[in-house]
Amino acid sequence: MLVKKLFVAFVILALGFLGVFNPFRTVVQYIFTPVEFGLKNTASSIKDTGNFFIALKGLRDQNISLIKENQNLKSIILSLKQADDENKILRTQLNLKNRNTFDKKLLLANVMGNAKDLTGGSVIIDKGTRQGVKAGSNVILANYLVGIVKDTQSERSLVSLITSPDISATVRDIDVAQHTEGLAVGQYGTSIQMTRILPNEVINVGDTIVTSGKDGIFDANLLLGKVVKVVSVPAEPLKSAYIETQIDLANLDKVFVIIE
Amino acid sequence: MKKIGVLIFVNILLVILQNSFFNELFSAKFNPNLVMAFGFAFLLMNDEEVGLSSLLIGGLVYDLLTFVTVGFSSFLFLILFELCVIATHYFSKSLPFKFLLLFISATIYTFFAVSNSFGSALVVAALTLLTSIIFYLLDANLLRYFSGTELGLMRQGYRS
Repeated sequence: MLVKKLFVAFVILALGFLGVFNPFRTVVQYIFTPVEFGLKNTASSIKDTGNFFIALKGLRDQNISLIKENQNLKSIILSLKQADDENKILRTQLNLKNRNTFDKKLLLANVMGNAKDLTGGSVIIDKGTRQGVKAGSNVILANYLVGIVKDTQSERSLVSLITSPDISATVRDIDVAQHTEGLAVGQYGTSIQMTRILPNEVINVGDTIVTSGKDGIFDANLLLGKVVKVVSVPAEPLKSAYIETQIDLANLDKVFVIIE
Repeated sequence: MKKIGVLIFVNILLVILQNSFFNELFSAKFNPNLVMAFGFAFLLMNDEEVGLSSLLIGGLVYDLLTFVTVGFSSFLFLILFELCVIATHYFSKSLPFKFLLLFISATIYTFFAVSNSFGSALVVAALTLLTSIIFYLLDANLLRYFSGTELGLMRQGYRS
């Protein structure tokens, strides 16, 4: 009986390698993807409720700091509005196209954690080849880069997050005049390290890092995060910096896939 | 045939719970392998036949709903399960020994199929073992239906 079952399993595995089960897999995923994502949302709600009660004590302090931050941001918005008005006038004057117009199609996708990745460096989204997702498609949230599609199936796709060590992207610092460039590499699901920074180039804690688009993999000007630490070892020729993402990658709910 | 149908249903339920609900609630690092725990619970109950069927079906469903070559988990589950059966026949049929075998099997599967981190594999294996024990303790209500053995008597014998 065991030999029979082992033989069946071996035949299934051989056929699986040949992709014979792909149509069947598509049907199964078509049926169960909504169920899985629904259950994920239920678990997420339960977790959020639990976290809310745990964090209740710290909420007051957080509220006070958020009020202060809100006041600061309001003043920044006011100055940005003035700059925007000025910008519009200049654009009209120069007859330039509005650079903020995102001319690529975005596809909204729900996110579910990948049970097969214990590092938390990848997630599964509920959109696949049927909806036009391809391996290599950029995944974003607002202007922030979330990751890249690594593998696709008909009804779902596997996304490597920017904190995954599988990912490296050419990036630049937009807060310094010389636009310091480097290579951002994920650090096993925890942070991002910006490497290959020349010793004479300037990079500061708090600087904003965006993709440069020079790698041909990621679109340009997608936000990565802010520099939290700059490491400069005298014995080493190049500097590095640690970047903290401004989005909570561990609790992603919805993302957008850039469809070419 | 009815039992196979129920096994398919239970395994689909376990895979969905494992991949979505538990994965979100506990994160992948602390997510027990429910399919393996359920299948290996039959080893604890000395019902290898149903255990093999459950692991074959569960592995297949698991692969269909993840980014793995279809049949990979089933094949690995069956090999590990049979090695455990052989070990119990040659060395000991006691429950603690079976717990140890299940823990080793879950570690091997997690290490090779899920994560290359030995530490993470140990955590997942420990949780899988715990879940399998819970399934085993539920045997009177659920698993006995599949096995058709007098488990109450068996467990009474073990305890005495």
